[in-house]
Amino acid sequence: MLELRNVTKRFSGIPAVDNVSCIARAGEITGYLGPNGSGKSTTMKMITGLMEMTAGDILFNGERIQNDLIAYKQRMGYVPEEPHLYAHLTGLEYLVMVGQLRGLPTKPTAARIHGLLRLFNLLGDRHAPISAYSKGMRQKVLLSAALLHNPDLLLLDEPFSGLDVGTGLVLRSLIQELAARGKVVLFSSHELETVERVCSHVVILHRGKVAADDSIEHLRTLMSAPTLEAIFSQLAVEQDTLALSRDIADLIHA
Amino acid sequence: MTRLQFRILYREFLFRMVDLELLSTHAMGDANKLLGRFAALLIFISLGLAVPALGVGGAKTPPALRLFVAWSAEHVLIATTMLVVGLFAVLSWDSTFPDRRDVLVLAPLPVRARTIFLAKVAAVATALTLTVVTLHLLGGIIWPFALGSQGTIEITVPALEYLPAMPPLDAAGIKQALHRDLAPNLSPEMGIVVGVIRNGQRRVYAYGKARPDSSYQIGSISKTFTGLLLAQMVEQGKVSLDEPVRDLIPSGIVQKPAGKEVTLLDLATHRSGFPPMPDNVDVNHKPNPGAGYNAEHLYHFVTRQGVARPPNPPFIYSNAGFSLLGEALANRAGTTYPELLKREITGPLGMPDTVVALSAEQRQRLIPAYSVRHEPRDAWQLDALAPAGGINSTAADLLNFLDAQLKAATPAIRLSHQLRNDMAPGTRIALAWAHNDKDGIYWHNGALSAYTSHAFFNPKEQYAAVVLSNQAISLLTFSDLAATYVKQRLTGERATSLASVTVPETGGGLTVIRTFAAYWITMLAAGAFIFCCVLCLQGLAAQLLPRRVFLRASSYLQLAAFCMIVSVYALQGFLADGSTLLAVSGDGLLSWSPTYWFLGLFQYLTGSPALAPLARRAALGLIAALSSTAVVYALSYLRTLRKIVEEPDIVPGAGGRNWLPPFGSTVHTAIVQFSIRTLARSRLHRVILAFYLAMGFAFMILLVRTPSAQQALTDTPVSDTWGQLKTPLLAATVAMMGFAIIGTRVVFSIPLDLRGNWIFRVTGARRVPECLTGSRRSLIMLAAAPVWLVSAAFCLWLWPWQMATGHLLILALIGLILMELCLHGFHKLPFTCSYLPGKSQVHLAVLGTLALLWIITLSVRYERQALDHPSLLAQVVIGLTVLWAALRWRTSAHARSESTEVEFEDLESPAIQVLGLSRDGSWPTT
Repeated sequence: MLELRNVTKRFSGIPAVDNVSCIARAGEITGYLGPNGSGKSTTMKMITGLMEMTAGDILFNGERIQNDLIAYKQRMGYVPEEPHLYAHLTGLEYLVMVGQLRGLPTKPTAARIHGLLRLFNLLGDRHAPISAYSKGMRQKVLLSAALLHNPDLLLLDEPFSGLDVGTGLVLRSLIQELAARGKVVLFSSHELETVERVCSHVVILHRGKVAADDSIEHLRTLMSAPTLEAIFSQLAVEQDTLALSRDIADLIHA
Repeated sequence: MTRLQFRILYREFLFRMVDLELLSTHAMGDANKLLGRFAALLIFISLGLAVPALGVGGAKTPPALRLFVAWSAEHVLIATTMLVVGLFAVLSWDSTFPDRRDVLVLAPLPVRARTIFLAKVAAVATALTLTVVTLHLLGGIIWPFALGSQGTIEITVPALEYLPAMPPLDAAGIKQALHRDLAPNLSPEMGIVVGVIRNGQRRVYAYGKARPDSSYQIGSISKTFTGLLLAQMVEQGKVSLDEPVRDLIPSGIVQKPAGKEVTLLDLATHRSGFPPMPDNVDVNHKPNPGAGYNAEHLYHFVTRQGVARPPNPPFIYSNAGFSLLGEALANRAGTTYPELLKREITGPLGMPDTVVALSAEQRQRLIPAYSVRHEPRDAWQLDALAPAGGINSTAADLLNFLDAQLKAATPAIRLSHQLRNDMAPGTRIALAWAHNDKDGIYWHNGALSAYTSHAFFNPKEQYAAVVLSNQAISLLTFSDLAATYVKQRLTGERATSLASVTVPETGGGLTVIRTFAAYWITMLAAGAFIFCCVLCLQGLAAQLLPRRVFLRASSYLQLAAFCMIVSVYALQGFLADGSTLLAVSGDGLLSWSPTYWFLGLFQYLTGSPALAPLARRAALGLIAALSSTAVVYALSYLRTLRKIVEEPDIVPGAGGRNWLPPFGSTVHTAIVQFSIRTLARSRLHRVILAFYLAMGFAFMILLVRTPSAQQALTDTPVSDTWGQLKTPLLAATVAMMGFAIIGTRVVFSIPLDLRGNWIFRVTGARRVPECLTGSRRSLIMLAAAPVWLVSAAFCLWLWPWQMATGHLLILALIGLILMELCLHGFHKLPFTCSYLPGKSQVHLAVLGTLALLWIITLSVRYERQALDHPSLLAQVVIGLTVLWAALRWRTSAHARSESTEVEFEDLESPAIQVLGLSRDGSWPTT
């Protein structure tokens, strides 16, 4: 179980994440939603240990992650929002390096890497540098790197970005399968339809604060909204989107 | 619209000219600060170039020397300008032609290709001009003033041109050639005699004021007589070559030294450690500096100098040494030097006109000598210095002497031809005779008062010649020039022209203005030339190679251009003497050096007719470079733009051939493999490392080019007691190790794909000791091990294995020590931490490099002694091992300290330093 307790992050005194508390349970997929600039990625970075909190606590299975950050990281898999990879390495070299950095045994890891590359349809391009990969291929490398060590906690920041339809469907089922096998999955995305299909529980962030933390079913009933998109619009979208689009069209027409 | 577009693009291209990403990928600091530091570095170099201008010339310096010093200075300035601009061109490699970024950004915009083209050209030209202007900010004012204001008198210098080759001539056949090429080029007061022998046929030709039997002072050719006297007396059993000279001079003159003593052979091969002249000769005494300098004076000098043989004495051309040798031989023979000469050489060889003191009749035949200002000069009378340069002779007599050398009739002559030691690269010394390894010619020249002379013989080809002249040394001695001409005609080579040109008298304000203009035009032209050459290289490769191959080859080409520019600067050497000018004018390798071409251009622009052939080459070279650049630029814009759009900038995969072994634990292996792959595939890092390696290489070349190192590289019989181990070569390997380790450590600090480093952060590689070990092994694999292995191959090939092993052990320890010094406080993973460009302190790095080189040069002298004595070697090895262990412990302990974490961000130092002062152990409450 991943628990955030009053997590706050301030940049030069300005809060980006403000007193956020929520729980992602094992066996379920927690959606972490919010508009641009709401503090989603900042929270993700704090959960991965890439960024330090200003205040609050993050607990994994009841233990503060800061107590033994390295042991915690060994159990965590992370797919970042932007596919930043060492583009001068080949896909195979990158995955081997990640396995080595995680201290995984060489031979079984090699077999696992081979399997992942095959299943993600990257085997033919494993010796090409990542600089030659398409966005979808890079995303597959990121996913492979995040799953390589069979993590207990999976943090997915926009994992469907750039994936083709087929692979997207595979990934969706895969996430559900992993959750069913008892893993904690925290899933952040702007694709609300996917989130609605995959997640049972969502946390909606607005201006760094938790606007909602509940199951989708309960939110639908509570807010009398038929879809997650409608719930999201009510909670986190301040603008009149129609009026805004009209204004833009008018401006360039003038 | 177009003009505005041009302005915007011009500004954008100009500011992006120096590849800031190359200097600091994802620079998070202030790029202006970095540019400022580079400007500071250039101004620092400018100051270094300008300061020597303050000491140039002086009214007392002879005009020829003053001219030569001015040329040398101008050449250094031109070569340095070309080096700096060349390096700038390499650094801006990716900004001079349109790249993918330009195309993708500009192609969708309504901008004409012509506008892009012109803006790019204007930016390149401005950047080049700015570089040259900054480099010469100070020198560009001081030098023209120093060169122009001192003024020169009218002076005649060789034209340095070449005449067409002719079939090899014999002694009689050369008459016509001399008549055509030499006779018309003499000034009215000159008198030249040329004596030639070929296969027994001998001729003497006299020109100008000379007659065939004119007598000349032969100057230092006298040393070959003294050398032969030594050989003769060795053959007679009166002396031996390794006999201490102290045994041949009156007792009580000099004490027996504690160590080795100067021998007769040391004196005859200029290896005695004696200075060029005895310090009690008044060289400023006019008109005859050697007059009255007798044996007593010479002994007085020897008493003070002593006869201790310095260890491994260098070659120092010493008149003092030969004077003492002649005196010592005469002592042993129980006679005077002139008598000994007559008895042993001139008498048996029939050389009645070869004497130290002229008879009244001979004095009548002594041709008057003239200075370069065409003023008469007195002949000098040498007494105790006669064995070094006091003999008078005629061409006919000297032909007798040379004939005897060609026939090598006596064992003494054969002994005097045996090669003993190095003089200069490619030249070795016998008993006084210099020997050119390339053509097998023995030679010696001479200059005394205003007389100059040159004698040579080739025993294999059976020809010899002597040239005697009555005019003083100008830029190049006319006798040397004429002797070279004679040799070239005898062998059928292209011949050096004996024509001369007159450099007009200069001085006054107009000269300063003209020199100023010439200076700036030359520097800009030299800069433009090298810049265009680099552009051409890149442009041609882009046109000739398929785009994908070019993308792969481009960074290697950049490296090659980089290494070539630095190597040429280090290898070509500077204007050392007149013979360098002759070599530059010829068709050898040096004639291809553009730095000398632009020296010619400088002379042309100042109105001097000297070095005109070089100026022509500069003009042709510049036109060729500029027009080729224009063509490749035009082609690039017409053809490459489309290619870039059509073909993605994707480097094809290597097909899984990049297997690397494990380097310890999995984390260590990951770090080392990542480092190796990054350095192998990142152009930016390779270029920066190449910069350091090139500096090491340049230093190594400078050291290895020294004569003693040259000797170790040839199969010269070596008199060294313990084999061919030489200090410069030791220093070269140590310097290479130092530069490789420091350079690699520097590139470790510069990140690649900084945003990709999250993977290291989230995978748990955060333990500093683990990362330190990984970095250490990376440094070994990328720097220390390759340099050590190459050094090992080199040392074991060249030296006895005991010495090579000793040095390799020390080299390994020095490498390990340097690594620990470099890694202290390096709590990062190679290539992953952000880098603030301002921290590079490039201007201080220059001083640091100079200090490092100084330390290396000092320490290898000690190492050399240690390699001589096993006990000392053991002490050195133990000392270095202890030092290494202590440093390693310190580095590791620092890495283990709890407060340290692996750094991924290089933070700017705070503007206000917190001193952390507290009162009585607690913070003040108010």
